[in-house]
Amino acid sequence: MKIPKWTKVKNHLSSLWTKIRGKVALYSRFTIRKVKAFIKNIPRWPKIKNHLIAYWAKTQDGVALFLRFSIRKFKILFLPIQRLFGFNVIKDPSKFKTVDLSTYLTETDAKVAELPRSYRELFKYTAEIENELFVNASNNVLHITKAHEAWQEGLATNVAIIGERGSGKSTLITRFKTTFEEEPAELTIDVVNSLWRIEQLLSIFASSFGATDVHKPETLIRFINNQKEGTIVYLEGLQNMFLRNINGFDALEALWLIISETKDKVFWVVTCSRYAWDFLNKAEGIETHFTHLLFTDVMTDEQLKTVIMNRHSKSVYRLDYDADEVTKRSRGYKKRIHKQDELQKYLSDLYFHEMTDIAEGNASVAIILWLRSIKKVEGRTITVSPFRAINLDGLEILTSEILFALAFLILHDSLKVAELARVMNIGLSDSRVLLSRLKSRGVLLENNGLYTLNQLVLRQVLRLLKKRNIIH
Amino acid sequence: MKNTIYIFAFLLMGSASMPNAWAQYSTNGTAQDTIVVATQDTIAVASKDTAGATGITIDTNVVQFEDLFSATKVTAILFVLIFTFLFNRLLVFLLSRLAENQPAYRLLIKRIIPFLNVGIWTIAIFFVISGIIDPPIETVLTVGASIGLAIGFASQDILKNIFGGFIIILDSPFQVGDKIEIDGMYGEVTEIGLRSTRIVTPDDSLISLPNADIVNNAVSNSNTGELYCQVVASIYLPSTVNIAEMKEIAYKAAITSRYVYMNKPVVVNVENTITERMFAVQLKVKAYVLDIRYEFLLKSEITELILTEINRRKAIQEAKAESVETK
Repeated sequence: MKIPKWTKVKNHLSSLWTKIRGKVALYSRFTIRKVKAFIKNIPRWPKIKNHLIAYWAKTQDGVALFLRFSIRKFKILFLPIQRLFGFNVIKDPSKFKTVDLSTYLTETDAKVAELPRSYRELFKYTAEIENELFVNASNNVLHITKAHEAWQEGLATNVAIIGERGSGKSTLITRFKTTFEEEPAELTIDVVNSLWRIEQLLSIFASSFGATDVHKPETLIRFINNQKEGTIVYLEGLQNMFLRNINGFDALEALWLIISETKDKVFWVVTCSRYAWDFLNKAEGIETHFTHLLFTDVMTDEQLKTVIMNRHSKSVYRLDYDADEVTKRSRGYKKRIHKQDELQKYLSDLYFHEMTDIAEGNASVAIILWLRSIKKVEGRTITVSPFRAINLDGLEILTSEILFALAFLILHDSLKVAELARVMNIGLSDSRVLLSRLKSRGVLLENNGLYTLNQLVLRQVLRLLKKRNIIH
Repeated sequence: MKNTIYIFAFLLMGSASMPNAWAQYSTNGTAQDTIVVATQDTIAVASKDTAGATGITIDTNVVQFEDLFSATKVTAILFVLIFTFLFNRLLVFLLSRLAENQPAYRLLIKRIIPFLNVGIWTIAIFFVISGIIDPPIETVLTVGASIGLAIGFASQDILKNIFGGFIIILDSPFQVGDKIEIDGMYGEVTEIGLRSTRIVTPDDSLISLPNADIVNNAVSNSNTGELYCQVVASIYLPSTVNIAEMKEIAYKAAITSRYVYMNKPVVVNVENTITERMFAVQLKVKAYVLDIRYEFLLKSEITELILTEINRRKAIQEAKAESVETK
């Protein structure tokens, strides 16, 4: 039988492979034996062996450490990039979960209430504050005093005080009032609820001035001009005297008429929120109605720190700043770890740097952020947590409707369900749903049906709206 | 003439017959006595000019097709092209994500994309030619000229569009994200390609406009790279209405709309027109929208607010009644 050619070749290759394998095995056994004999003959072999084992373990440790370090660094570097591109595969650890953020925002009042009463009183952001606690931003008290002196000399001056909610507009008025040796004839009209009809305006003004039977602005003007003495009128809340609605400017138009016709008899001091002022100025050029414009939300970072520290220094507590994990790993922290004073100053600077960045010149925002940062009170020591900025992305409800609703709330400072429905041209039920959704997340606060933005998220909301070109 | 014929033969015969064409060219196109010397990388054809009495020997190197496009090189070229394609797609995807996530820079980022596309493909093709194929300059010139000639004849329109694409990118009459109107077609530019430009119309249709047509037509750009653009809402009213009151309503309707961009002025113009043999007043409300995506919402809201208010005040009925009384 003829063996096929391929089988021959296969057999030949197989025998060749067996030979090669045998030779390699023989050579390897020989080499290993030789190496072992060589090692055994080394005089300090056990010691060297231990050294090698230790070195190998160290190398393994080093590699593991390096890998862990690299992964951590990569994550730190990769997370912001991921956020920038809008990917949320890995959760941002600095971002609160929706539930946490809502809880954090809604429990603010309860947390502040847990603080000692004396401490809370010091940080109450009302208009009535002690002299030494007042920080005079941009020397506004002097400017308002000079405007008043000019009015007394016969010039038709008036003042508009402009600033964000809680930036100290009313406080400025209170400070101005204290500059008089003799109490002048004055009147305060505080517009809390929104009004936009002429009748609403005339009703409030008539009762404040003590006029009766006022149905037209002209009647009120005549009444004011017939007064013997000049009066200072503090009109607070210009942002509540209009609605951003096609019929929402009637009261404001009547007000301009009243102000311009009574300038000689009345020294008008009007306060307005920053964003309402900007809007009205662009729409109607309202700054032409005023001779002096003063801004209160322009405190420097140093002034904001003074606002907090002035109040704190009046308390009996000493401060202890906590550091977060990132700070603890930083070189700045480690360098000062053995010097407590230096370390505390370092942590305090770090805290105020981040906090004033969010407060952006607004004193009440700074105060609420400070109170919310207090972790615990033990004996005479107040422990301040590291500052953590709130990231609104965690809310996951920021649709364009919600953003427009937030913009209107910032414009008007506070709105009721019906008023939001009016300005957004939506139904009452839609308006109610919008507001209650935001309230349940802690973004809005409700007081007697009046919804206002939570000061803790004011800056974040503003930044978001500016980013979307909704507030300009 | 003979050369041209061979160039066409080279282009038309396809890859299989190409080496033959070259071989023929190398043997027949040169001098009579040809000595072929094979080397490792090339086949050098040393030609001896026997006709020349001076006895000068001219050496030329002609690279064979197999060496220019060996299996390794073709694989490498394919790999580079696929990698470039994927890389390009990934980059476009990431930049689009970034643009959507950073509204303030949306248009800026989107307008970078066409430049990156062209840049990446140029680099890739350059790398393929000079780094992988690495042909002698004579081959590049010959092939380039041949391809140019052939493509020039075959695809004049495509070339026109490609050049049009380059002109659009360099001249920048509009960018991705702009609202443009060309030849009666209006929409947002979503992509500027090398052959065509794509726009999305208000009713969400995607239109591909050949770049050559765009270059040869007048282009109207509404926002020129800004996020905001002007919106004009027209309202037709009977000539008997109180024009001052209507203007006030129109102005307030515009400034109270949530979509209006207040950093730009709101203007209301009045024009007298004739419709159906009747005098009419046309109110033109010009306002800027805060984001071009809300363009039609702003227009609709302004119109809705004006008409609702006019109806609420019964302004048209009153004007008609007054007009009848006067008559």
